[in-house]
Amino acid sequence: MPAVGSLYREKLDAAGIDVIGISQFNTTEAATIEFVERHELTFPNVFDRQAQLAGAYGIQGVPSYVFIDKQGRIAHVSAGARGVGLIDSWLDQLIAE
Amino acid sequence: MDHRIAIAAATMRRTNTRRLHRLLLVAAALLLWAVAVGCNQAPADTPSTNYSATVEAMLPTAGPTVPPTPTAVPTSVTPTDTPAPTHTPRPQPTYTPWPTPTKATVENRQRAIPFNAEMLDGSQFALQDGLGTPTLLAFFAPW
Repeated sequence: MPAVGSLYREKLDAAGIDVIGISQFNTTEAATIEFVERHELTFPNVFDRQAQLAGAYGIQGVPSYVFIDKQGRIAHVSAGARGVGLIDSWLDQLIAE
Repeated sequence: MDHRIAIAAATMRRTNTRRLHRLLLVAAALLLWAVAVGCNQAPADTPSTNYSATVEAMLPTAGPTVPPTPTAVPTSVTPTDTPAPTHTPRPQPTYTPWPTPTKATVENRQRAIPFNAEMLDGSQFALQDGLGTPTLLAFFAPW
């Protein structure tokens, strides 16, 4: 997630791409808030207490990333440590669509 | 008169106590000396039969003394050619790049599932409100 925070501040925000952090709520709200502040995740973050959103999107583990295009369709799904790098490498194409 | 007798008795008691203390001190010193001497004393000089047998078994057996033959020192050492270790290159991991989406796959994309969720400050977020803007959903766990 720190990588997503950096990518958002450096590229995504300027490119007009929204980022929504979805916290898998298995600790406490305070832990999520502390995590978000510590890693400077300045984009909006929401709670997914019962992992309902993760289930709806077929997320198997964290971190996982789902890129939604302008038309509201799922353009890209990636997971793991490479996920952010893949999005970064794909960014120009995703923006151009 | 009684007063003098009492003083004399007290003096005698004090003197006796001092003598007793000295006596005890001397006795303690003697005891310590005896213990020290006892600890440093060598064991008895009469070894048991088993002890002798053990010592004899440990002694080297007498035999003809053969002077060691001097080993010849080589004047020059010829290095033997050892074959170089064969290097087997490790197999490199194959990297499969993420497939570039084609027109067809773009058209076949699934619609994102709309949702409402609570933000950290308690307000509500709706994904469908951001329609028309590319959005990245980042699922994470706070650890």
